[in-house]
Amino acid sequence: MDDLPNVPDALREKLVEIDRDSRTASGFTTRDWMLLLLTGVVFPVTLIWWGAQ
Amino acid sequence: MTGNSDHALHTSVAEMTGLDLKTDESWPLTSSERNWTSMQLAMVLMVTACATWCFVIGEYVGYYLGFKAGFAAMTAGSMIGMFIVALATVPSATKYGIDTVVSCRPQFGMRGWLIGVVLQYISIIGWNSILLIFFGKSVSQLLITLGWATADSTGMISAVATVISCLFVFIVLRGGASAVVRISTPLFVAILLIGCWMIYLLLMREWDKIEAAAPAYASGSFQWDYVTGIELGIATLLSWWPYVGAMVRVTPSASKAAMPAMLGMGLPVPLLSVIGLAAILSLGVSDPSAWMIELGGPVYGVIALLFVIFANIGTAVTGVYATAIGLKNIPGVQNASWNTTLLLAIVPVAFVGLMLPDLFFNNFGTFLAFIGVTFGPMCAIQIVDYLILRRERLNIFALYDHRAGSPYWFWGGINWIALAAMGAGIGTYLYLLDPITYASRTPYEYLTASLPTILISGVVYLVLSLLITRPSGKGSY
Repeated sequence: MDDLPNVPDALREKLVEIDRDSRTASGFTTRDWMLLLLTGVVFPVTLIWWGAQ
Repeated sequence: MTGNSDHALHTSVAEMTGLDLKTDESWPLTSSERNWTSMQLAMVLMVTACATWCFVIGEYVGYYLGFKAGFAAMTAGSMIGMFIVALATVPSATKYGIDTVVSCRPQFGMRGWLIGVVLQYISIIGWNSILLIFFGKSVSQLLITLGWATADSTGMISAVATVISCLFVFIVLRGGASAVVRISTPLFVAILLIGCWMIYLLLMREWDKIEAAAPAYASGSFQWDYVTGIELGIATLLSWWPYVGAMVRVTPSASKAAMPAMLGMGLPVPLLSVIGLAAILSLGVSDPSAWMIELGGPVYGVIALLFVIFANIGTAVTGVYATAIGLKNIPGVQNASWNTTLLLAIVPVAFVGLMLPDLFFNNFGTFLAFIGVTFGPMCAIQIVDYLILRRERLNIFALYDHRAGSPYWFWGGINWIALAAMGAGIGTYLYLLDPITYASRTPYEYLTASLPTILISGVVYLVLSLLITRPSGKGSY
């Protein structure tokens, strides 16, 4: 896949490096998901309940 | 500001805006180039988010709700909106170092992704128009109050102020952004301090009025008004979609970017919007140049105008940069000079500011609805595609492979399934809420318009991708 035409060598080298590193990179961890759900779901729902009182 | 953070901020603006205009600035970032700390990211996001559009947002929520309910609805909506944008943009941007519009390619195809550039162009021009029109109105309000101008000349003063601010933005962008980047932190500190002082003034002096105020356009149904406040919050934060990817990609991992995105960009907007909410409820006007004079005379008015200048100009410069680099991705604009590209980003803002400022400003709610209509489905499609269908893996080489038949080529360079999902989402939104009249249909009063739109778009994209795209071998799933 790295035989892209019309792509500068420098970009191709970057893509190879990013592709290699992405194989070991992780996305959101369990802790991240907990914090995201806390701030993006639990907190707003609590606020909605409080504001409606 | 430390040298590192200065460099990081400079890198941010350059990356986000293409300021340096080097070819490699628009390329993805490798692991070694993603060197921001969470704190640096949070600072950049806060500087970008804090502008006087917050007053307009607070004003709109104050049309429907009192202070407590308005604050709750606005904040809850903002956090929900930011949650959706974070899920759509952070994982792929931080793993592959790509910005938001490039991350559209696996969903929309190597030609269809231009829809992301167009949406970015329209939304940032809209936000910049709001900022610069607000600036023009503040200048005319102050001059009239000081007795240096009459009410008859309001339109002329606003127009001249808008043109001057557009020229200022153009000149700054021609000369380089390093000066703007250097003053980002002092600007933020000034905005924060004056903003806190304004909230203190309003709450201490006008609390009785705020508490007793009846929203001017309350529908008679608290539930409808409350949901509308939440909807305004969600739609506002969905509009950060074009900005977020370009900034979070400079952090080394999704973990480093998740909380700065939520707290650095999601929370400041409703907190600053409280000023507009309290002002519209107690004094009937959200423009601080007007109500600050009422509270403390001309000196307060001048401080308020400085606040508007601080908050708006830096953000407008950043917004025009982002628009310009977005335009640079369009084949016909790629070879245009930087000045020409800048003009393409600024002239529409000047046109709106000169020709139809009141029409645009008075239909801010419709503009927000446009954002909800378009960015909601966009986020849903990206979330389903990256997190569920692709299991957080992209073909990084395919993102830059424009040949017919390349992995993200789909059908003629366009993924029609994504467009169908987008259409289904837009249809859902328009059914639930008329963006022009704000007439609604059930279940809007229970669910908002943006949330069902996001759900429908995501489900349609998921089902059609499983039934059509995958079996046909398209899209490199």
